[in-house]
Amino acid sequence: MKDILDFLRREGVSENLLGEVEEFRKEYELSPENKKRIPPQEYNYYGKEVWEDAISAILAGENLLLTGPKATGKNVLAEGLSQAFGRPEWDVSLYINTDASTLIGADTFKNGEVTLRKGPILQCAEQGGFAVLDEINMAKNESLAVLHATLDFRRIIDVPGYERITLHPATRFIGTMNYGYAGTREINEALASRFMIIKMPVISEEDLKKLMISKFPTIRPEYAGQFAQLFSEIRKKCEGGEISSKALDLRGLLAAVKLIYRGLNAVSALRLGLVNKCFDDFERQLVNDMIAVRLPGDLSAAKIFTDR
Amino acid sequence: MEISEFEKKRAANLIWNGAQDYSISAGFRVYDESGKADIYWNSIVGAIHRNYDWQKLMLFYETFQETVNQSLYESLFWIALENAVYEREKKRRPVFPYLRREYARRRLGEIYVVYDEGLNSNRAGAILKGHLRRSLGQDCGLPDEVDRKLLEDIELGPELATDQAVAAIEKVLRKYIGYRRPGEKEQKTGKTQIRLHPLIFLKNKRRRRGGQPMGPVRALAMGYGEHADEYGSEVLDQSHLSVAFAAYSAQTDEGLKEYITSFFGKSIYTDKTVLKMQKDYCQGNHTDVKLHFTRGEYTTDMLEKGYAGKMKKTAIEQEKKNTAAYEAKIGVYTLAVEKLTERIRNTLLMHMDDSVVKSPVGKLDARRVWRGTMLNDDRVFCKVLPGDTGNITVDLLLDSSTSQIRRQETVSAQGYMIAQALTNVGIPVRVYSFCSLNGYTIVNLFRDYGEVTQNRQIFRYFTTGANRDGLAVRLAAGWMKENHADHRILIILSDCKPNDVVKVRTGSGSYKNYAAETGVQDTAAEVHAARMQGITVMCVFTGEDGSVANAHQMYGNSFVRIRSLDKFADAVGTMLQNEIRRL
Repeated sequence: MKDILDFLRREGVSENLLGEVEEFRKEYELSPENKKRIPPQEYNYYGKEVWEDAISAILAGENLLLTGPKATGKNVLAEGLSQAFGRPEWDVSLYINTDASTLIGADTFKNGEVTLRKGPILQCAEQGGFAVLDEINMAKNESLAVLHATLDFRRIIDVPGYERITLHPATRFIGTMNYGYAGTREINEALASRFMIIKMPVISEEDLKKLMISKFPTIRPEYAGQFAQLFSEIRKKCEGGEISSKALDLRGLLAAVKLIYRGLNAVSALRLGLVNKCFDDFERQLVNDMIAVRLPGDLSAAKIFTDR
Repeated sequence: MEISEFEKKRAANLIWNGAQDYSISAGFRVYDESGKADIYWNSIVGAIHRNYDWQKLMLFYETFQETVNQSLYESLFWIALENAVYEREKKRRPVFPYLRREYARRRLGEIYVVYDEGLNSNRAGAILKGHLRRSLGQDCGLPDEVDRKLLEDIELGPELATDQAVAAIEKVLRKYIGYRRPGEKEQKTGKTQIRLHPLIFLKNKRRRRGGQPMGPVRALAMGYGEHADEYGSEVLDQSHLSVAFAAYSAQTDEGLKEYITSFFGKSIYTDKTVLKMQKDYCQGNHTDVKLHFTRGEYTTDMLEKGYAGKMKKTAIEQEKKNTAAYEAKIGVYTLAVEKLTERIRNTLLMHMDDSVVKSPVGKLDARRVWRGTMLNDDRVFCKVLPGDTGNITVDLLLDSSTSQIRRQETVSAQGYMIAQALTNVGIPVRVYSFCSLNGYTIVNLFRDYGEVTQNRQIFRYFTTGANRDGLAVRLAAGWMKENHADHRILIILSDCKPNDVVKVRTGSGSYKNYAAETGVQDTAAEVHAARMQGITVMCVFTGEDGSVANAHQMYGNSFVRIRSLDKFADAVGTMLQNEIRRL
């Protein structure tokens, strides 16, 4: 688990903060089964300031709400925080019908007895994990009201018919939301006041290039740069209101690069990863054009990677 | 050549992408022989925007206007800048060598140059051909020694700044083709050009020396260049607007606005907001259209204003007639409202009804506990699956063009019933009508989402003028974007025969009537755009047999046809029911 802290050191995150993170880890030891819940390191989040903000808030015992548009790395950062602090993670995807029983738990039958089947929030609270409340503004404010006492200074969960549970001191909640997305609602003040809010900046071309290189170590830097620029061009087109955000898909781009590495022609791979995410012909044509003016039609793995 | 809106938009997007700036106006766009946006050239134009001061370049470019060698100058101008910007950008965009190569290969096969001294387009073609050959690393192959030198000089390097580049191009044009700036004395004759009044100049701008009108799309050496900015000069030329109303009506823009205001009522927006909305909405096929939004409010002195005042009085009379017609049959209508309310409410309830299912977790069902211990069936709990479909808003857009003139009382009564029924079940509803008159498209807002007590305002419905359906849909979709409901439904009452006096500009600088196929296609495109924004668009079709195909083209399968307007509320009820079931 050392490596993510090494990564943060390389990124220039304050040594003081990292020292405290190490203290935090020492203070809260983990059981072996909880160790499995620490998410594996798939991607790194690049952005020193955001890291420092987030780490400070967690160290101070606060919950975090990460807000920002698509492809700003909200979930990558949330996972990164679990890794950095060495805490097990519970992922809860919220949707319009999320209710108290989905979050906290419901009755179930075990060995002829009615017992409580614990929901993710309750488990996380007992084990001192990090609960990631994904798309928190998809849920109705009323159903999140059950979390109010959990999220504020009281740090308790009261399950009717069972006992009252005090949160493990290492427990933190990390919410993510994409404001203005279809079907999302305004988050109310009572909920917002229980979080420290980080507005996630858009990933810079430079950072995206770094991410590419770390993910695909043999990619030639000039091509990593071209992919990064392609991505920022798609973002500009979304911001300009010319296309929807369907093609603005970082996972899709990285998956496409993986396909190229496996031998698929670059333009075809990007068609699978980005272009076909758009279901509107016009949009698809615009994304195709963007790729055509970035990457030659005959580009293949041999030119992009040093080891192919 | 016809260039589709789609390709125009594509070309603009390529330029914005190349320029890395979406705020610029993509004024010059390039298309290939078949009218498709040229990938390479539009990216180059974008890159020129990025690397040079576009305004300065265009100032120079405009001096080619109305000269004999215009198209040769223009072609050489772009070749020069292509070379310069290509050299600058190829590092940043390594795909450029590939695109240039592909373009050169394709284009070299297409250009057939017949040597004839008088034909400048051929000369431009020959020079481009030479340029492309050189870009492929070959000899330019130009037989004429002068042209060889010209080509060498016109291929600008990357180091020049805007002013230097302009100076360099000007030098080449002077040296080889005898270019002179307008107003500059011609060396041979010593004649001075008469300075024209700017307005005359603008009017003549589209005419070539031979008197042939020259559209903003012209054949250049590298393809077809569309000078979209030149449409701008035509805005002054309002002759295409058939402002064919009588002598008592207004002649000026201000007067026309006053006329429309007296006719329909005070604007609900400030002038500034309306101007902004015109800028936002009246683009593409709707350029030149003006907007007026009203709630029909008026002052008594407005009623005194000639014909418009008289029309306003008629509208007020119509409101009384509409109300009276409704009152006369109030019993029937009240019952119908109740029925409609129940229908919608039932559908909603059925759909929002929580369903209870057996489950291994949830709330204990005491009657089933024995199954757990005796049968090892752990599904002794019940779980509630909530059936919330999320919130719904309905926008009702009524066609108030003259085609509905015989049915005003019916439309208003039916509109009222729909609004009342939706109010009863608590679905926010907005009702407005649209029509077009004298270049204006007028939106008459009867009732907004929150105004639950204002349903009777719908009796203000009255008809006049034409209907520009495409713009109406665009405006409605624009308004609806501001509400964040999960399901937004737009229902349009229309005869599916869009037409309006303000014509549509075509690529070649001419105009098409906003009617028949053009109107239908435009509306279909707007309906599609609204659907892309997540709005459900449906139509209640009141037209004749001949327009069924139009309705199909515009709304796909999302329309119902009603033979008589007293089925309007019923039809909307069915549509809403189906829509709610689908949610």
